Amino acid sequence: MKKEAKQMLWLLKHSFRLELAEKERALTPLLLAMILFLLFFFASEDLSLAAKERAFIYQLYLVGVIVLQGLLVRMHAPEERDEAFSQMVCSTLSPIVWFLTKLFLTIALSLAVILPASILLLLSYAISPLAICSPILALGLFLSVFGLSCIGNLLCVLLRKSQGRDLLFPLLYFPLTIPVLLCGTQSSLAAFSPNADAKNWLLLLLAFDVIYVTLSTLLFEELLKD
Amino acid sequence: MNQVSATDLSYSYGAKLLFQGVSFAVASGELLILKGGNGTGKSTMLCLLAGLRKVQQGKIEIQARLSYLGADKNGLYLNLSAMANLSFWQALLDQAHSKEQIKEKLKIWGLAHPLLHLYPVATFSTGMKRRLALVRTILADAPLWLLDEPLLGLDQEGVLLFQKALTEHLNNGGSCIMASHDAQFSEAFAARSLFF
Repeated sequence: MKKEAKQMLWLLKHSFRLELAEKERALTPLLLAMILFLLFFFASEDLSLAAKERAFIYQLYLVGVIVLQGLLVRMHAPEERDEAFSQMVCSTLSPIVWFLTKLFLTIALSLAVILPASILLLLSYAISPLAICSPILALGLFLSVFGLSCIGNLLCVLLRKSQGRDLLFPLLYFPLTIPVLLCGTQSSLAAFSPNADAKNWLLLLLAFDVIYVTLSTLLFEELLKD
Repeated sequence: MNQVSATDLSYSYGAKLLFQGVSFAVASGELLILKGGNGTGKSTMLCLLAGLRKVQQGKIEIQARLSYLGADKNGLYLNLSAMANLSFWQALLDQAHSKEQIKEKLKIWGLAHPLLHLYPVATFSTGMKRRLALVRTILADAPLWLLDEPLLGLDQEGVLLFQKALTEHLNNGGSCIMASHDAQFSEAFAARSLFF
């Protein structure tokens, strides 16, 4: 267990270094988030507070999905381009360690865009920035990012050899994001209306996460082989 | 003791049968050279042994830790320096070579220019990349080497360095299965050959 933890830390550090070495990989999702922010900013002036709160939640999740899609479609690109993929597969590196590293990397990088974007959005909609501290909002957002990262990483490995990966990935990813987004947005809306019941939506979201984690851990190793 | 044994292996790409009923075993200290024309299945056989492809028919038993080197895949991170590449694999796979030992190996293989740490592997020539990939294979300390055309891109000095490293590996009880078209090389080692 200690060896696996050490491997994971080392691989995570290495993966961050590779991500940072390619500026466009970090810049593209950030720019997309900024464009969305600007577009919605001009459309939100005449909205009521309740409408602004709803718009904030939906826009936040939209930023999240776009950022995740941008990150995931080329998650294994450094290993593929640098021909290190086969070395990793036939090494003593545990597939679970590899999967978890990619999962942590996806979550960390997407949250690095989503969190600043959420503060900007709150400010632009003139909603109290303290809303980001709402446990319901934070939990809904985290569970959504977690589930989408899990299944996204699995799809990424599945399509890594595919010629039309850039087209196929969003097509296959889209239907899998719908239930998670539905549960995530509905539970997060409860952060602004104390009477709303977020529990059922969060439980449903958790159920989807469990399904996606189980599928990913069971299939990841199999999909690594050609 | 056999480090690898393959029994009745068959593999096909769709309707094209690549090989059928192939069986062999490789013991400690033994070198097996896979020979045959282009597209006859040598690389596929090495991929099957390395676990990179699923076995369609037959059985493979591997008793030792292995190190694989592909023909067109050096397994190096192009944005990192030679030292950073070797250190990454050493740390990831929990291997015990010190920085000094890695530097020494790089020196032996002609990759120890004082400014080399400043240059990413992407700037290396084909032969230098191959040398570095072979150093990584050697430093993995795996008893079993699976090498696909290891001499590809190597100059005469590189070939001699590889021959020396391979002799040392076999003398230390390691084994090696490699695909090669180099007739002189297999003659020099008087190795067992498997024809595809």
